[in-house]
Amino acid sequence: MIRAIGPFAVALLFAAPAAAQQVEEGPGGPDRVSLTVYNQNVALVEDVRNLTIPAGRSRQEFPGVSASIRPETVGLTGRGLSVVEQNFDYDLLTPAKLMESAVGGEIGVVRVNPGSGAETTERARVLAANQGVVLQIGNRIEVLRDDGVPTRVIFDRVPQNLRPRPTLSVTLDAEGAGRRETTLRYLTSGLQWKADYVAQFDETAGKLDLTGWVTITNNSGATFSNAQTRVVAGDVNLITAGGYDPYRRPMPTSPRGGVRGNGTATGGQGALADVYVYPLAEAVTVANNQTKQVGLLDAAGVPATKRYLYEVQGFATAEEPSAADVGVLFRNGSGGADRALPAGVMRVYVKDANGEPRFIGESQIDHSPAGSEIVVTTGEAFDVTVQPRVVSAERVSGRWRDYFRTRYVMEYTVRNARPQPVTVEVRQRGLGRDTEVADQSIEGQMRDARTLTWSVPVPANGETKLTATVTTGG
Amino acid sequence: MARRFALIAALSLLGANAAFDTAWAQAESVSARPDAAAVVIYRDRPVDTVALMERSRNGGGGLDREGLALIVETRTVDLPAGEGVIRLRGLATGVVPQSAVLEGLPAEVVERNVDFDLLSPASLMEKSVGETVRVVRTDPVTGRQVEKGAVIRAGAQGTVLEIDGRFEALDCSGLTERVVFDRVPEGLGDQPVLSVRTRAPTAGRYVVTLAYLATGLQWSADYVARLNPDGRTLDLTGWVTLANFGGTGFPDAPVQVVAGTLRKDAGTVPVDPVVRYPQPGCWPQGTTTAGSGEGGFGNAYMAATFKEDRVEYGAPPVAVEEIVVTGSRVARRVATQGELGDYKIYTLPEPTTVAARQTKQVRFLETEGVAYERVYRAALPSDDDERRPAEIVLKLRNERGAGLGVPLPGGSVAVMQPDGSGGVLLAGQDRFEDKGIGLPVRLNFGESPDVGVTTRIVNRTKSLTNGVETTRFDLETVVSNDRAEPVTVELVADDAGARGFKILNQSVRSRIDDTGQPVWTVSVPAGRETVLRMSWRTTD
Repeated sequence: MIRAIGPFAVALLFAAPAAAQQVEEGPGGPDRVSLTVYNQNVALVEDVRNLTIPAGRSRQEFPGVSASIRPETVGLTGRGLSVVEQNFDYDLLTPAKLMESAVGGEIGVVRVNPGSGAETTERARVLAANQGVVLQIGNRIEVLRDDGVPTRVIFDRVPQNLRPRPTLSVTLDAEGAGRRETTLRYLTSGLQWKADYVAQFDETAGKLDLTGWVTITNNSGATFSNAQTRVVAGDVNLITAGGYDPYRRPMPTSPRGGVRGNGTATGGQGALADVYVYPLAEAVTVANNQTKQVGLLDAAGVPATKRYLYEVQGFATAEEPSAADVGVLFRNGSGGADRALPAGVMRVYVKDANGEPRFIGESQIDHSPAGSEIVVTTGEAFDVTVQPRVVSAERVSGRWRDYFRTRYVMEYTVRNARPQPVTVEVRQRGLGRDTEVADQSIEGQMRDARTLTWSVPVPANGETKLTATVTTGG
Repeated sequence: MARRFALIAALSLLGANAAFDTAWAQAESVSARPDAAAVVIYRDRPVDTVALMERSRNGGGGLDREGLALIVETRTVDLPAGEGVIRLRGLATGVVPQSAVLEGLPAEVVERNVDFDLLSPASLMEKSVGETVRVVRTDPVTGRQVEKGAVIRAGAQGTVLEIDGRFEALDCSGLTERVVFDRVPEGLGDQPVLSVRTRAPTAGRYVVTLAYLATGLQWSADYVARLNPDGRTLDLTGWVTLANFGGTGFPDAPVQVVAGTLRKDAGTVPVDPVVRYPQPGCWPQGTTTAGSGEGGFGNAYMAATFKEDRVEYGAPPVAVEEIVVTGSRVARRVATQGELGDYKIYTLPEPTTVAARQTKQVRFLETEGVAYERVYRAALPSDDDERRPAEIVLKLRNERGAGLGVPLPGGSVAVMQPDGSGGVLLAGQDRFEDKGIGLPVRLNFGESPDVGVTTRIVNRTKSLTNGVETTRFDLETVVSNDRAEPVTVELVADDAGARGFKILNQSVRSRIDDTGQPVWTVSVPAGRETVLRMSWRTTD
C-alpha cells in the first residue's frame, strides 16, 4: 500500500519510467585474448572484441579486463576508431555509496510491523546520510530505523558511475557505424611466471634427465579464458611507478623452429629486446588465484658431473673444518637440452639404494642461453671438508705503498670420508693487486684477478694438504 | 573394475536420453587421499631442539612454513579417456605445489593447476556478482518464508541486490533475510587443490607416485654422553627428534631423515590460500539515540580499493600437543644409516605415525667406550693480564680406533658425569656441526674456577728494519691447578693470527693442533703451578 503525500507523489509518477535503468554489464568479456607474461610481475594483455559501434562519439565499456590493469598503458585499435578519452572507474557499488548517491533524491521505504508482519510502503526523500540516514517523508523528518523497526530501503536506480568491479570505459569517435573488431592492449600486474625444473641425476652414469615447467601465477583479479599465452624469459626494463609505453615493449617474433619438449616451442631469437619467447602450444585458461604449470622441456641423458667446491674468503685460519658445497654441473648444449633455459628453480633428485627418487637440494638458475655451463648447488657434502690455515703471513716490503702487501704461506687440509676418491675445487678469494703464487703443491690457476683456484684430488677416506705461497697487495 | 568418472556418473543419471553435452566433455576424477606415504625430512640449516620446542610452546608462529620434507605418495587414480582432470586432494598442508613430480600415469599431462581461492561467504558472494540467486525473507510473526529471485549487483563490500528491477541492500533492513545460491562458482574450494589436466587414449585405473616438497616438518639431532668412571671413555646415545608442525599426519609411514645441509630456495614455500573476509557494508546506521552505527561513512569506504578485501590467510596456531618417545634401552631399536648422494640418510626402524603437531624421538646411535680427552684451554694475551680462567674442553676423535667412526649429524650434546655416589650430574651442554668420519669433535663446557692462567709481559721491544716495524713480546705465564688431580692445559697466543707472527723462544715446544693454531701443552700436577716462558714477534 502506497501512502504518498504531497508533491513528492507527483515526482514519483514522473520519475518511475526513467528509474528502471540498470548498471550495464556490457557484452561480457573478450572474444579472444592473448597473454604475454614476463618474469617481473607484469603481463601484456591483448583483448580482441567484436563490438557494434555507432558512428561518431560513443562510450564503450570493457568489462572483464584485469582488475590490476595499468590504465595508463591502455591502447585501443580498430577500423576507423579514434580514442577521445578513456576512463578506469573503480568507484565500487556498495550499499553505503548507493545511499550516498540517493541524497537529495527519492527512495522507497518499506516498514515491517514487528507485531503483525504487515508492510507499509512510503516514498521518502533522503536529506542526509551522515552518521545516520535522515529522511523527509511528506512533511515529517525522520531518521531511518530510529525505532529499530525493520525497514527495507528500495532504490529505483543505481548510479552509472558505481560498478560492481573496476571497469574500463573508452569514449570513441568512430567513422561509420557497424560491427568491427577492436583490439585493446594493456599491461597488468598480478601475473608472472618462472620456470621450475626437475633434474634426475644419475651420478654413476654421469647423466641427468631434465624436465622443465612454465609456472604462471595469476593474482590479477581476472580470469583469462582460452588465452593464447606466451612467456618471455629475460628481464625487460620496467618503470614500476607507471609510464611504461606498451609500444616500446620487446616485440616478440613469430615462433621459429619445431616444438621441442612437450609443451612449447622456442621463440625466434631476433627480437627487439634480448629476450626469449616461449609460446605455449595450446590456448590455456589462466584463472584468477591460480598457479598453472605447463611443460617446457623434457630432455633425457644430458651429460652431467658432480662438483665439490669450497670458497675461502680472505686469509685466515679456520679452527674447524667446514663442508664443501656439492653441485651438479651440466651444459645446455647437447641432446634435448640444447636450448636456452629461462631462469627458475632447479630441484635435483637422485635414486636411493631402493631405487626410490629422493630430493637432494635445489637452487636458482639464471637465464641461461644455449651452451651455458649450469651449476646447481644442492647443498653441503657431509664427508668432504676443507680447513684453511695461515702458516705464516709476512709483510714483504718496507715501502709505504706496499704496506698491505703480504706473503701468505697457506695450507689447506682437504678431507674426504667417502669410500671413493673425490676432486675438490678450492678457491681462494679476496686477492689484492699483483698477486704472485709460488711453491704450490698442486698447480693452480688465477680464475680472475681476485680468485685463485686449485683442483685438489683427495683419496678415498683420506686427506690432501694443499700448500701454496701467495703474495698479494692491498 | 569400477570406473568412477564423473562422465560415467553423468551418463547413468541421464539414463537412456544421454547426450554429450559440452559441459561433460571434460571428465573429472578425484583422488581423495594417498594409499600410502613415505616421509623424508631434510635440514637446510642446523636445528636446535630446545629453541624449536620453545617456539612451538609459544604458539609456533611460522613453524608450519619452515623446514622441508619430501613426501612420496602412492595413489590410485582413475585416468579418464580423452581430456580429463584428476584432482589430487588430501596433500600435506605445507605442500609446495610447483615441486610436484607425478610418475606412472600413461597420459600426456597438458597442464597442472593449483587453485588457491578458498570458498568463504565473501568469495561466494563476490564471485557470484551478476548471477541470479534467491532471497528468502522470513516473516518474524508467522514464520512464513517469502522467496524472490534477485540478481547480485555488487558483492565485495556489502551486497546490492536487484529485485524486480529495483535495488536493495542485503542485511541493512533489520529483517531476517538470506541468499540462496544455486551453485558454487568455479575455482573455489575448501583447500588449495592440485589438479592435473590429462589427455589419454583410453581410460584406466593406475597406481601412480606423487612426490612433492612440503614445509612444516623438521628434525634435529641430540646426543647424551655419559662419562664413565674410568675418566677416559664415555657412552654416547644419539636421538633424532622429528617435529611435525603441519596440519597433516602421516599414519604408518616409512620415515627417513637426511643429515647434511641442503640448499633450499627461498621461493620453496607453500601457496598462500586467498581467503576473502566479508566487509559488511551498510549505509550509516546511526539513530537519534544510538549515535553512529558501525563503520563510518565516506572515507573508510572510499579508501577501500578493489584489492584490499583480499586478506592473506593467517597461519593457524601451531602447538605441539604430543611428545612421543619411542625406543628404549631394552628394545635397542636404532635407526639405520645409509648414503644419499653426499648426505647421510637415517631410516627409522619401522614405519611410524607422524601425527599432526607432534614431536617424536627415535634413537639413531648407541655406542659405548668412546675415548675422550678432557683438557683446559686458555689464550695468552699480549698485555699484562690478571688471572684468566681456562675453558673446559672435551675432545673426541670421530674414528673407529677411538670407539666412534660414524657420521655424526650436528646437534647438541648433554654430558653427564658420575657424581661419585652412584648418581649422575649434568656436566654441561654444547653443540657441534655435522662431523664426518675422521674429524675431531670439540665440546666446550665453559670456564673452570680451578684452572687459571696469569700472564706477565716481561719485555716488549719495537724495532724498525727496512721500513718494517717489528714488535717482540717476551712473556712469562703461570698456569695454576687447584684441582685434586693433574690437568692438561693448552695455551694459544692471542696474536697467532697477526701479521708477522713468529715464535722466537719457548720453554715448552709448541705444535700445531687440529684447530690449526700453534699450541703449548703443559701438564700441571694437582694443587701446583707451572711456569712457561715464550717469546714471539709480530710486524705491522
